[in-house]
Amino acid sequence: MSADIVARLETLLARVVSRRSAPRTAVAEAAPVPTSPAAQADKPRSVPPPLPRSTPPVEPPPVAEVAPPAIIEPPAEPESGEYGAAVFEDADVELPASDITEAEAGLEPVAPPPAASREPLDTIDTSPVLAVPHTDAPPAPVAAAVEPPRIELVRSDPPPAPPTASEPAEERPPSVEPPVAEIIPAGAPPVKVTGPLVLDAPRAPGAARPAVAAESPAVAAKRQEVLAAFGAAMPATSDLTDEDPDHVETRAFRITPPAAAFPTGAEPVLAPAPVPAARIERVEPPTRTTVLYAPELPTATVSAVVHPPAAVSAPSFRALLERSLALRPRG
Amino acid sequence: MALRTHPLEKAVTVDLSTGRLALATPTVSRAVAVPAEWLAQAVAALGANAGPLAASLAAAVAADARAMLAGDADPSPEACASAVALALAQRGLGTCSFGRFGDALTLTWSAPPSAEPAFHAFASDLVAAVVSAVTGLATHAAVAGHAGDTLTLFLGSEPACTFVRERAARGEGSASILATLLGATSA
Repeated sequence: MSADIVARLETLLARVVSRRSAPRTAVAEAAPVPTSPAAQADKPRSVPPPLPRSTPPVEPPPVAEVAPPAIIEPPAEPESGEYGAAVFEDADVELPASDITEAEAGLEPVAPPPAASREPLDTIDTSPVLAVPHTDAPPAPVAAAVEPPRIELVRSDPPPAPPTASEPAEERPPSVEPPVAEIIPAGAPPVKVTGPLVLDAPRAPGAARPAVAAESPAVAAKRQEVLAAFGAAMPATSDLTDEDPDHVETRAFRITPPAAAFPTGAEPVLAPAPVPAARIERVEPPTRTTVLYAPELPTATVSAVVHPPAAVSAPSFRALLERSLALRPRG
Repeated sequence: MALRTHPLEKAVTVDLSTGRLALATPTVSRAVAVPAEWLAQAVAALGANAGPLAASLAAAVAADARAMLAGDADPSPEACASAVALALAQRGLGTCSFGRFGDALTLTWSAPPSAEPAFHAFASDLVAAVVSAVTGLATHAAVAGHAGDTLTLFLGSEPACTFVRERAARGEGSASILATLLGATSA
């Protein structure tokens, strides 16, 4: 039994004694006893300071004179991991289950304080409070070998992937990340990237690769600049973030072979595709010429196609007179 | 619609110092102004012999109308109506307009010298002679009805005008006469 545990047991006994000597109402308002030795040294043992309360004092339930069978309540379950960690860090004060069982015979339980007077879990000792009889019973032995339960947080991050044997880090250029590695099938042989990728024009199998002309210094400088940007994991589109819905497109752009974006001298320069001439034009005139007679109504220019009627020669007066002259009464 | 303009500001010039009434019409340089009732009384006095008077007056009106049409052999209804109405108005004979009731062509003479039944024959002969002279078509006219200071004349063939004249003599209205004419036509 370590000295620390012995000191804590002494603290418990002192608290029980002070509770029995004090009135019952004071028991409910008893301040928590600091469990750490450092805290015990700072605060006196005899008069614990009262804690501030926001609720009116509640009359504690009466304590039966006849000691009922001992009921040991387990500590309250922590509501969160943070509280749980705090509780179980102090749980080394708790008595092992075997020791508690042995001490049940001579102990009488103390009614727990009402719920309204309970203190936060991180400031109160949640270990079962046992009343110690006045008899000079030897202190219950505490098994030091039993380790209190602890909770450990396990990181959910996957372990770092081991470096692939086929692509040692020394063989790559420091600023070039092979983006094609993510899209290579699993069964494909390893690809050794020793330099910028160059796309070749499709050729017949077995045909010789056409000679690649040296690129201009301006193109080479631009290539190195873009490769450095890729190596530094800079976003291709700086104005987009991961919260944007089109960030997937950004990622897709990242895995594009960087050399494909720059044509080399050997690649044929294709003429731009003809842009279709059909386009939508604004029919409405840019300026409004409508006079507003009703300002609350929006103005709009109504454009209509007027199909003039076919050129029908207006009947002359002579033709009209001929039709009238043609009238003949019957009989 | 193109209306032909005509200088009306000097169409009639009254020179009280000389007692002359000058008409600035294309065909008449001098006129004698008489009360309209005098013309109605003269027509009533002539009776069936008022035909030459109507023909003489119609020739003068038609000459002015043709001069206003500037030799248009096939004028539009609007141009023809304007010319005839202006030619009548320059002589104080009132004004006129043309209308259609189905295929029946009518002339509404407003403010004629008289609207009495004794004037109907003279009015028919005058209008028929003017229209025939302007259009070149042998046209007859008959008074289908009158209301107040307005005469409604039907322009058509002689049998149709005879039909209308008989109906009008019975006191039948112009619309009813024309409807009957159109329903009974066998054209």
